[in-house]
Amino acid sequence: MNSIDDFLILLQDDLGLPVTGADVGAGLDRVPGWDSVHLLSLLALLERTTGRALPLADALEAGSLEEIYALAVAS
Amino acid sequence: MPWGPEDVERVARERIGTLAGLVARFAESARGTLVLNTLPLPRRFAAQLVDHRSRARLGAVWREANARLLRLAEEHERVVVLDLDPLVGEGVPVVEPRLSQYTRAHLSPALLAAYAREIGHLARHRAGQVKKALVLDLDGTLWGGILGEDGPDGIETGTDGTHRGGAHFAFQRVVGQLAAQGVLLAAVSKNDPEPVGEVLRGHPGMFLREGDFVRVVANWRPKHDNLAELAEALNLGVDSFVFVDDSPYECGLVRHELPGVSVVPVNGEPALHTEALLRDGWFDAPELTREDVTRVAQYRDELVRKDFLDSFDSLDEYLRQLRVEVHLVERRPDRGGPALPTDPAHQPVQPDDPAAGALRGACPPRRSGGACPRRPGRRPLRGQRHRGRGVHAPARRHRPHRQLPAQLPGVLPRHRADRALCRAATRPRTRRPGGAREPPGHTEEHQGQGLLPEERLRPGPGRAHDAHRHGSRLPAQRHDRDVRARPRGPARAARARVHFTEIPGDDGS
Repeated sequence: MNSIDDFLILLQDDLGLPVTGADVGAGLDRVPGWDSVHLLSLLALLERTTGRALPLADALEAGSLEEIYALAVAS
Repeated sequence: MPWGPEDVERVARERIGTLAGLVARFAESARGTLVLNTLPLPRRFAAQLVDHRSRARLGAVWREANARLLRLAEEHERVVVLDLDPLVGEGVPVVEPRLSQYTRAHLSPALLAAYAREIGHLARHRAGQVKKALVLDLDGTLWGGILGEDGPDGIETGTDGTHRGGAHFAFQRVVGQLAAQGVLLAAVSKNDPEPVGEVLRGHPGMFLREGDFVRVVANWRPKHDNLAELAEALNLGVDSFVFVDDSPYECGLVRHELPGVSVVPVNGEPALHTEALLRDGWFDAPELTREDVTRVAQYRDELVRKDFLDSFDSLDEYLRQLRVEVHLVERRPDRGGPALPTDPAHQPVQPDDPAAGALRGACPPRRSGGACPRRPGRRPLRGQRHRGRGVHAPARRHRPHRQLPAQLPGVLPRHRADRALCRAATRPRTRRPGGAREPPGHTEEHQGQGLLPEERLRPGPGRAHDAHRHGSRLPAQRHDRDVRARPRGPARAARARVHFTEIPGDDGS
């Protein structure tokens, strides 16, 4: 995963969420179809894709998809 | 609370017993299909037992429980138990820990997706959308390379050649395994037919042979056209086809033109062909029947028959293509000799048979033997007819006395030969002085001239109808009026017919 576009494709293809670029920066409560189970599934996907552990506690602090992406690619 | 394998065994026995009771209740009272699944053993349970002996015991107990589950499908017809172990064996994770812990979803989304795929194919089958035929591309799919460019010696297949050749051979073995269970195999390839036939017949590296396919279509036409024609020839819908091709262009074209065809794209790595083909259970069925196993031969025979029927436009052409020859030989009683045919199943009418006695008339019994030595793909036919007192009725093996079915193209040659022999034996006094008269109902030359064979074979007024009206249980036949004119009772049993018994041998003279 090299860009936010790859992240968007992950959300669309693997999680099946009908999100667009405009939804990435919006609050999670405004993301279409989003629920807490998606957060858990997204964490598992990101860990498998990046090979890095993503603590649930940190992800719970994120307020948007963009912040979750930043968490995943942070060095 | 600490636990051990014996606790798991006890709980498993109780739960499986409860489940078996529920399944039995379902089988008694409900309709539809009940789908159960086996339970994979996650390592996080086995690893909680620190000694290997206990772990082994746990594994045995767990698998015994799964085996009981699987056997429920043997005990109840409408119960299907999907085994998840093969899915787990492919590397699908059993558990997603976070989902299991936080949402109590104890099977991972990946495993659930694979499970749903299996159930989807089961539901498709239950809905009647059955896949029956596997249609394969050749170049790059069944073998490596391009036959038209590399030649038969240049293609890659076989166990003693290249690695890629071995992979193609392994793929062919899997295809052969499916075919052995009733999946119809066909090949559709953009190639010239001659080299394709040469490879399928004689290439030493091929596992599949020409006889394994119900049809090999090698030409340069669009593949979707060939698939549509193949479906018509097999009397199947294209939605019963699974098409495998390594060309994205061909796969896309078939998908676009024939959306009902399930397309399995494979790529340039033949080691992955098998995975691609088996990823979906296209040919899954709850149970394999005897008919499934023999389906390939049935469809192949049907294709041969259809090809033959399609190869002529008129009845005369049809009869010419049968290449039937009828030879009549005079059998003189004073010369003795065995009656024709010599088949052990032959049961001639005995002199003291009441039926024969009732028919014995002024005309001395003479026999005319008939042999029909050349029939495409069949053994010679022989028969004999007694002028004046009916016909020897040789018993057919496994097929009791049977008359002329009017609408079975597959048996038409024999009956045409029957008629020809009957006509030749009874008609012309100029050629056979003292011969029997033409039967009154003998109107072969006037029936349906100009009609297609199928139309000729339909029972029509004056044929099947007459026969049934007069009490005959036999299908339509040509001598209806002749039947009416004959005496009833024992004499009827020996009424004049010409029958043939298939026996190997020479001309029977």
